[in-house]
Parts: sequence; C-alpha cells; structure tokens
Amino acid sequence: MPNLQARPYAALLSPSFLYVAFFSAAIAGLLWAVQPSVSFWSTMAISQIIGFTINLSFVLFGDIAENYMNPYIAPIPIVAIGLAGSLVVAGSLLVGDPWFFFVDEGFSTILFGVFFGIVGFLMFGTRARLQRANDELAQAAIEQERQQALIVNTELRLLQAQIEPHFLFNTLSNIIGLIHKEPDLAEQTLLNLTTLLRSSLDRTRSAETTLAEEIEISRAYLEIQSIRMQGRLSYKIDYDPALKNLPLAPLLVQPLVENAIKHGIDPLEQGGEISISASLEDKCAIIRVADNGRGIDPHKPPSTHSTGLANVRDRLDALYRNNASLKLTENPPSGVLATLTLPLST
Amino acid sequence: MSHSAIIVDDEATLINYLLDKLTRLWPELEIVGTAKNGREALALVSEHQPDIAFLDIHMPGLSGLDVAQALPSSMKIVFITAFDQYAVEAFEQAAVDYILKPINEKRLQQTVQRLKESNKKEDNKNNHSELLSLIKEINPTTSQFLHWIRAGFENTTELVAVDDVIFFQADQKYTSVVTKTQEHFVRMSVKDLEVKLDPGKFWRIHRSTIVRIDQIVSAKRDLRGRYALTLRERAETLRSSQPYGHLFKHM
Repeated sequence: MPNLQARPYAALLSPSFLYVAFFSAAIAGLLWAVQPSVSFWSTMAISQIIGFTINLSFVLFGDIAENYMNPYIAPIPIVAIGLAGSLVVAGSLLVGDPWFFFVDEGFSTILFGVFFGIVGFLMFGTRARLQRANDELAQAAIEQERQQALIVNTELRLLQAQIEPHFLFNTLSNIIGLIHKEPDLAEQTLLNLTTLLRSSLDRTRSAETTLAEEIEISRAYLEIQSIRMQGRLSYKIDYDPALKNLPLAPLLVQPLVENAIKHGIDPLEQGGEISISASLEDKCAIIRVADNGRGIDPHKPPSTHSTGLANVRDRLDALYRNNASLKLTENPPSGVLATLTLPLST
Repeated sequence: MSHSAIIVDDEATLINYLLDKLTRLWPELEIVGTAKNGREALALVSEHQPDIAFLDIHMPGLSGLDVAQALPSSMKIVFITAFDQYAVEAFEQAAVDYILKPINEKRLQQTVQRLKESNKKEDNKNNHSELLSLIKEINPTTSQFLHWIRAGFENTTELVAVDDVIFFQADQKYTSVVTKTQEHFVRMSVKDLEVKLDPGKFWRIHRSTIVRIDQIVSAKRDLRGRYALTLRERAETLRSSQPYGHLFKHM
C-alpha cells in the first residue's frame, strides 16, 4: 500500500547535513563580510555549529512538529530551539562561557537568529509546501487512475452482464422445446430474445437510451421469463408518460429486474409478482422495481454471477457522481424494493 | 434389466422435450413420473423408487444439487443445466454425468448408452460418496458471516450490502454504518458486529470502529503508537487505538 501522506521533514533530511554544512559556510562568509571584526574561522565555527544543531533539531523534533503543528509554523520553534542550543554550545566551546552570545554578543545573536530563522522558514516551509503539492498531485493521479479503472471495469462487466449465459441457453432450450408444439409461442419468445440481443449489442455503442426503451427491454426480458416460469411469474409496468423520453444510461433498470427474478421470485415454488414503476418526484426521476419474493437472507452471500447491483452502483457513480442513488429496502410483507433515484438534468 | 426414471425440471417445456427424446432413444426406459421442483421429486422417488433421475440443477426451493444429496445411493443421477461453469467442470472431473440445455440428441445418446452399461450397483455406491463430497463443494450454502445489514429508517428497512460498507462506528446507542454515499444506523453494537463480519475483509481498529480493509489508503503513526487512517472512498480520517496498532505495523 503506497504511503501518500506528506512526511516533509523526514523525506528531505537524509542528505541534509552536508547540504546544511555548505549553507552554513555561505552564511559564515556573508557574516564575516558584514562584521569583519570577528575572525573568519570563529564565524565559520559558530555558523557550522548553529547549522548542525538546527538541522539536528529538525531531525529530532520534525516528526513531532509535523504531527501536531501547522507545517508552516513548525520551523519557527524548531529553529529557535536549535539556535539557542547551538549558541550555548558555541559559547562553551569557543569562549568558555555558555551565555556569551546571549549576554556579550546580543547583536550578533539577533542577527544569527534572524538569518537562520528566515532561512529555516524558507527552506523547510517551501519544501513542505512542495512536498504537499507533490503529494496532492500524486493523490489526484491515483484517483484519476482509479476512476479510469472503474470505467474500464464497469464497461467490461457491462458487456458480460448484458446477456447471462445461463439465461441465453435456457431460453434457447425453451424455444427448441416449443418449436414443434407451440410454434406461435416459440416465435414470440424468439422475437423477445431478439429484442434483448439487439439492445445489448446496440447499447455498447450508444451511451444513452430512453426510459421507454429501457422499459421495453425489461418487458421483453420479463416476457421470456414468464414463459419459462409458467404462471409462477406475473408482472406489471406503470410509468408516468411524461418520462417516456427521459434520457437514461443503458442497463440500469434491467439488472434490477434480473435480480428481482433471480433472488426474489425464482427461488419460490409459488412464484410472485414484479412491478416496475417510474415517476417524477422532487425534480428527480424515481424508478422502482419491486418484488414480493423471498427477500434477502442476511447470511446469504451475493452469488458469484450477480455482479448486478455493484454494477449498477458503479455505473451510477461514474455517470452521475453523487447525484444518483440506488436503494434496496424490504418490501413488506415480503420481497425487496429497489429504488433508483436519478437527477433530471444531467 | 429394465430401468425406470424420473425427470425433474421446473420448466414443463423442457420436461416434455426430454420425455420425447428419451422415448425415442430408449423405448425400454420406463418414465415413472416427472416433477417440477425438488420437493415433488423426493415424493416421486419415495413412491416409485426409480433407479435413474434426470435432475435440473436450477430449480425453485430445493435445487437439483440438494435433491441429489437426499437420494438413495443406488440411484444414478444425470444433472441437467443450461450453463453452470463450476458445476460442469466439477462433474467432468468426477465423471458425474450431465447434459446441457438445449439438449443435443447425440450427447443424450451417449448418456443413455452409459446408463445402460453401468448396472453394477456396488460401483454406484462408491460414486455416490464422491458425488456427495462434490456437491458439498459446489453447492452454495449460507455463510457464517453477515452479508446484508438491515438498517431501519422510520418505517422502512433498508438493505445494505456488507461489501458496500466502508466503516462502522459506534455512536452512543447506535452504530453508524457508512457507505460511499450514505450513512445508516443500526442497533447492533460494534462488538456484536465484529464477530459477524469476515475478518479477512474487516478489521476492528478501535473500541468503537470497524473498517473495511481494502478501504485503507494509508496508516500514519503518531508518537503514542496510534494510527490515523485515510480511506479510499470517504474523506474521514479514522483513528486506531493502541491495542489494534499491530494491524498496521507492516504498512
């Protein structure tokens, strides 16, 4: 699992001591130029001690500061601690008085403080900001990749979900069984199967269809199933004529109907009824697929073939972002109600 | 030796079709009855004691696999299915006979031939135990883990697939069930939920939090050994408490 969290200090400190040594040398040169009264080598020594100690305090306290403080403010106390510590060390080593820089050399101390404070702030603040920006970019790239994968994945599943092999072969088997004895019914079933096949082939090309078309496809599907289930399945379809031309992404309704049959009605010996309805409510199109079947068993794992619901959810997510929803509720006294809520303007 | 058989399929069209074909291919076979679900099939068997069953796998109520488990070991079974990748693969390996819908006459002829030839009942008993273990393998049963959560809201009960849940968090009296886009409340406690969820999919990370493992994007440790977790599909940051820190050590 990639760790994308910003860890600015830890990340930039590894080669930092060498880097800081150069930096401190440059500052020492600058200070010596401003204040030639102090010898070059002692300025260099003090500068190196300060650079090293501040860097060390970043190494030691950077993680804590990062966890508990704003990354842009964090360098200030760290620089302050490092600077104070280093001046005590420099005072003890070079002059023999730990407080030398605080008492006798107040002016240089303030100068050092201001210098290193600004440098620390610019260096680490900018680094932190850059790091953050990089992380955000990486995060965005990953998110985009994930979206892309989602789209590809759903398209793939869409292709697979269009006609379930079991359904196809079973229907063909029915047609063969009917062909001599009830040729009219066989013909009708073949025509319904044709509607389903044609729609599934066409829909891979056209991204949008209408509610009326989708319902016709579901009707063809229900027709075939009710011939197969012989009296165990009845259905009714009822939708607001105003919604007839509602633009709709394909394969949002039919998987719900398939699920209702597969998990609701078909497992019951006595069968049941499916009702599809669509209405306008609160500037949303509400499509409901209800069954009075077996209902959901909380311990029954979703079957391996039934990628249906996940498929619909992924498609809603890809097409409408967070504006559409699919809700499954119990449908008293028995069965399941699937409610699809779609925004009207897309 | 004469044979008797039953045909079990939830679709009358297919029963009639198979009946026709069998009468033509094997006129001596006595079809003692047909059934359109598992329950009727078992009643037929106890009434007529046939020695062959043509069994559709996919049926309402008891499936063909369920029925096969309940049949006497001396009976020969031929499964019928339209499409069932896993089962067919398993049947192939275990030399269990099956026919695919739509029924191909040539293939049915082979089955008939095989049934005529295998008269040794002892042989069949060995096959039977193999068949039972095979069925156990391919028959989907209810699992010990929870797959759906019933979340009450006013007077409707919403069904939330556990696979859609991103995390569970205790919230005073209730536990909130958070999915990508919604939040539901259930009365079950986090403690009760923990034992009902698949530990391969969900981790308890805090006294009051359970999270879906594949939702964790990163785990960031603080000085006290607790982790802050960022999630794939939710903006919330979840905190683990120390006793659960070992879960993230390897991250």
